[in-house]
Amino acid sequence: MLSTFLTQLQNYFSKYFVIGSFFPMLTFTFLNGLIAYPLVGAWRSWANANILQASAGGAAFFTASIVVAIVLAAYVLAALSTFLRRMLEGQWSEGFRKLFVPAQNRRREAIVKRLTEAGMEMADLAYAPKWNEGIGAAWTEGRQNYPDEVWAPDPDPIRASLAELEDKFTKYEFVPAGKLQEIANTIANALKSHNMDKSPRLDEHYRKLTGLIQYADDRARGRYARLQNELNSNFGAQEIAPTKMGNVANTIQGYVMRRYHCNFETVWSNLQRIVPKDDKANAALQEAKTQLDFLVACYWLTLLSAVLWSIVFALIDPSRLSLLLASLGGPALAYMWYRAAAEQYRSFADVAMTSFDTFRFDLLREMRLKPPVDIEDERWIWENLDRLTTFGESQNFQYEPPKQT
Amino acid sequence: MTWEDVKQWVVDRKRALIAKAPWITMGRFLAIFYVGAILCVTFVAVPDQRDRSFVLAARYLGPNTRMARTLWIEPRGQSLSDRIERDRLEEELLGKYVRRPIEGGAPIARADVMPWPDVPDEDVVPVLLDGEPDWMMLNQGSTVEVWIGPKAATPHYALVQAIVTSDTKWIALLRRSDFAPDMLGNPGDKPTLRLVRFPHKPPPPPPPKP
Repeated sequence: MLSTFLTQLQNYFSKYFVIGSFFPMLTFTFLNGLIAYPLVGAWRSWANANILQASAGGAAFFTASIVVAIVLAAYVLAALSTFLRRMLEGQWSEGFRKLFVPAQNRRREAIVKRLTEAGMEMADLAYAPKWNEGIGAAWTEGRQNYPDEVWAPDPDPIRASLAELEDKFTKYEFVPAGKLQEIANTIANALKSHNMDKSPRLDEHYRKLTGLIQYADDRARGRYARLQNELNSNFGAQEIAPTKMGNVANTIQGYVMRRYHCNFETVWSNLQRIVPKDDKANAALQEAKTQLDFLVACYWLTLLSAVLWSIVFALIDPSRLSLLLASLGGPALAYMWYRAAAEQYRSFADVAMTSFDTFRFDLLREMRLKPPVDIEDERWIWENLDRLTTFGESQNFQYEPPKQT
Repeated sequence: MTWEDVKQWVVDRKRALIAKAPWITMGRFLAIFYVGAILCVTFVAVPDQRDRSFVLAARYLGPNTRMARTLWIEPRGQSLSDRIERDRLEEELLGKYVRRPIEGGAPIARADVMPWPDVPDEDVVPVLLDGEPDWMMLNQGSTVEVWIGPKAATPHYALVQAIVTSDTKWIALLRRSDFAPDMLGNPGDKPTLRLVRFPHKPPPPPPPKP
């Protein structure tokens, strides 16, 4: 009967409504009813009389009534989903936003600081070819002027320095460019007064140094790319939002602005008309959005349940243990839903960005505008389209009639 | 001090706190404040459920009866929170002694037990038991006879006042007046106990004669 009901439901409502709103509402109603069964005598008596111990007809009637009520509540939830999501994105009053933005800004600044350090490390390592040139020149000088001099000091100062860096390499830690440069200079100085061809130890140190420089360069580039991706996937280019989810949401606008100089918010609703023309792309976008709606719904329903049960255990059926479980455990669980929703928003943002990448020319064609000839031309189009749309500035575009098929 | 001074003071304190502990964000501060508020409300405003929990006496329990699981019944139809508190009550009742007479089926709460029996101020004779007794049968109020070897030390039976424990030994306390005067002269004698009657409610005292 349930599978038949779900099939009928899908005929009247989209599967995205069923997954994103109906399932969370159904689950939370069921769970709250289950919790209330041993605790609330009146509910237990009613459930026993009308559902569990009632006749088949009576139980079916009341069950169907409850399910209809759940469907209606899910519809209300679906209608509120945008508002509820924007609440989690931090679309609050200015005074309240100000309290939370500094923490997000500090988070962003921490990533920027690490990114800058990685960039400087890369810049320092870019001088490695010059160190090799210096070593090469010193090698030539030493071979010419000191052909019989052998480099074999005891203790070997370069070995100790290299051992320290090799230990970092073994542990996959960062090898600082400054230390590598010091060793390169030490080798160059040694080579100036010795013949490397007769000093196998120097040769070995040089080969190890070369390997470490390559490793340090690879690590620095990888770290720089990773931090840049972390910054781009966590924060947009515009004003910082007071919540993690809000900043993830801003990454879509940030990407499109950075890449195409386009104000994504003005074209998003137009894009949503274009994407459904491609079934696979539409399915990917809708699936990502549905999962996001599901998690946002779970967050708010968990919070609502926690508030209701806290009131019950504080005022109606006082119980310290139950009050602590509801008022502390509930918000903790809601926070887990929020973190999951923030991560899902990242996936949704990826799909939205990909959709823009794929369908932006179709969007321009729908607006009867000529497709751009190169990147600069495209950026000019999006920038001036934004000026026209957002600010009403006087901008002129030549329309292109649709192609006759 | 004006309102602006107060605001500035708060801002300065906030900056100093962030400088010392940058991990403290407004969200975490609010979370800590919320947890503290909930704990205060829970332990100050919400009554202790413990005082409402109870179990039911399985039979008549006289004063100084030592409590065991067999002597009470769990009430039915309790909520989950009541059951959790009742489990705690049962742990606390074990090994304690009844403070006042409790009828069979009557509720037993924390206030009805005490840690040590309140034995009347008269001479008692401790009789060592072989092991932990069946508390339903041998407890305060049980009627017993005591034998020392082949001789009965109690001419008219004896009433157990209480049963106490010392390390792993179980000792029944009986009134000296229940023993024959010449039977307790030798400290080396080892008396043995035999149960004669289960614990029961004593008959009501006869009405005073006019």
